[in-house]
Amino acid sequence: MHDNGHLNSLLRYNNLPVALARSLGIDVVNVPTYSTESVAHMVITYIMNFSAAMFHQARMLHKGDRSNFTVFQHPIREISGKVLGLIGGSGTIGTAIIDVALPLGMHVLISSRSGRLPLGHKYENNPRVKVVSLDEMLSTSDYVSINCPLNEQTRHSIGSREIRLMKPTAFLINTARGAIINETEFIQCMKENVIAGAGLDTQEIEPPQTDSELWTLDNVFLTPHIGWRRIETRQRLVDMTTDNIESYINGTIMNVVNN
Amino acid sequence: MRPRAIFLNTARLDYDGALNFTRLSSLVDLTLNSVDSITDANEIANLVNSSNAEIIITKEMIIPSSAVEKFTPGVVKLMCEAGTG
Repeated sequence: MHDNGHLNSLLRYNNLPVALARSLGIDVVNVPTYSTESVAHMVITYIMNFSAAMFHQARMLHKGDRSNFTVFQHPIREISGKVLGLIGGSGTIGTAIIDVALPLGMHVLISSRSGRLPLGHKYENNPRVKVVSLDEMLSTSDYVSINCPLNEQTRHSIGSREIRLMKPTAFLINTARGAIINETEFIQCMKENVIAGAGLDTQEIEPPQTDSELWTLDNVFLTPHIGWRRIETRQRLVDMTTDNIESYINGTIMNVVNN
Repeated sequence: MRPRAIFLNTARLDYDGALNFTRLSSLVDLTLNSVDSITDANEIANLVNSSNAEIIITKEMIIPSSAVEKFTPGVVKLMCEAGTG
């Protein structure tokens, strides 16, 4: 897809050839956090929609199928008491998701190899936030949200094995980067109804190719990478990009990713 | 003199014309290129070189090495990803 090389993956930086830029004396800067709350709320939006089968019902009504008014066909469940599993949950977006999930009555599981949250983490001692292995989190969560960065360790890290560990009533949500999911294996799992459904705000290719089966799966709901698109979020991005340029002009450059 | 800057794919971020670039425009001589994305390396390089910009701004647009290699040497000093990248 691109020729930016291994250094970019190490830097978790996907779009610009940072190593080449450095060799030419070009600084590359980014805006590391501008959409934390917006993306977190996107995850919660998906959870709320799945809890009431809103997507399914909207699709039925658009097709003229009004049968849910008489015999309700979709199991819908309260959010309170459900388990939210977070992949990459100890970061800023994961923490912002927990900020909303806890008042909704959810329990939160964070997958981590270290077995604990970073020292001083906001939810380090919260009894409703636990750190477990990835497999335990997948097998016990009602909703699983992917919030880790894309790098060589996470690319295609959620595939058939991981999805088949999930509960058949569970939902998978991806608002991070599409390539974290192995899309081929994911599509096969969804065709077999291994889990109840999935919401993908990001896909490996955006938009997915015209003939992608992602468009046609009844239990997969796509949104066009809108986690960052709320107007206030986009203006914040313009303002923070301006901050970066102002710092460069003033000789105090910040947020350099190719030092 | 204010440095020149070009936002190569402004429409990716400001697709509805709702955003305010006033403060940025006060800092740099700003060109807003109103497209969502450019994929052709030659087109990217030609746009950058014709703008004589010191600062390049992009939003979720891949700039291949083959484009950067065609930049006029020494002109571009800063590449800004308007996002995490």
